[in-house]
Amino acid sequence: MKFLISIFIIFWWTPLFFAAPSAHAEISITVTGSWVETIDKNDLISGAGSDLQGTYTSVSGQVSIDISGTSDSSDDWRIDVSKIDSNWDNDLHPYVMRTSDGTGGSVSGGNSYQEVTDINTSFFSGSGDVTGIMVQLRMTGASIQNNPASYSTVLYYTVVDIL
Amino acid sequence: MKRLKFLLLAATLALFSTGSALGADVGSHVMTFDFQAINEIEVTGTSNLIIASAIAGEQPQDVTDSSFIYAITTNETTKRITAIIDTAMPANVTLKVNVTAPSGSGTSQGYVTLSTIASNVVTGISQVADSSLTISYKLSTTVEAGVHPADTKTVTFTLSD
Repeated sequence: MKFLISIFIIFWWTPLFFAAPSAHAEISITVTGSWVETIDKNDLISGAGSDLQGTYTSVSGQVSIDISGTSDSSDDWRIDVSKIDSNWDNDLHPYVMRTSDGTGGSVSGGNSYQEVTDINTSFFSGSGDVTGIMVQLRMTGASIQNNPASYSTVLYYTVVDIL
Repeated sequence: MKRLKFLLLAATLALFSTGSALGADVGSHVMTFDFQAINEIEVTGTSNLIIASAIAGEQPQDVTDSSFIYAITTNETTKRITAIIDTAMPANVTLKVNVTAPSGSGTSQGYVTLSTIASNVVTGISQVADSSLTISYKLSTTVEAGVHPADTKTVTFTLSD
């Protein structure tokens, strides 16, 4: 009898829990763009004898973010950002800043430079479907102390549905 | 008791499925910074070195000039500066150069005789940006050299591995 009850719980109740997500709107995020910067002698502040300029800034809309799949224009969400390094120099510090509201729902916050770390941190928030939210990128800490090499990190944007 | 375990299992599964219900989708992009090797050196200055005096009974007096300066930037390690002249010096005439090492990086070789073969003047330079570093020249001769008309030499400094 106990065995039958157990089977009942596993095969009847558990699928119900898994079915729950599909009953709720799944918010999706689409991130478009990347940033590749070559740093060479032309980036010296004033030629031989000087150091590299320490800060590099991308164009305003280097990255575009679309939010879709909200249930309606009042469906609130939040974007968190973090990074995972592949080959990175810890002297280098990446930053993000939202530079446009995009079109559609509403967006707020994130309109000043915010450092991206390995820990997920709130970037900006909004509601409803929004397309074309522009993000500008910045990197600080470059100097001749960085060994010649290619340094890469991946920035992750997580959309969190705020219930 | 077993039923409780299964209920806990189901509750745990429900907890994980709740995370998905929050719609935590993720997008990403790459940031790449390609740091190229930078090895820049710039020398400033010109000079006239004239030997025109001697103390009776001695060889002609050396002349020196420390009015040259250079600037250097490298993001690499264990670099060296070499110096070379474009044509050989006349017999019994010697031109030497003394290049100051960048602050905190590298070792000056002191006065080094210049020839048409490159010579190390500073070694062991690593990741440095420095300027207004002194270059000194010393011209020496002996009476055996005789009298020479004015001659021009070009000294080339190279920052290399």
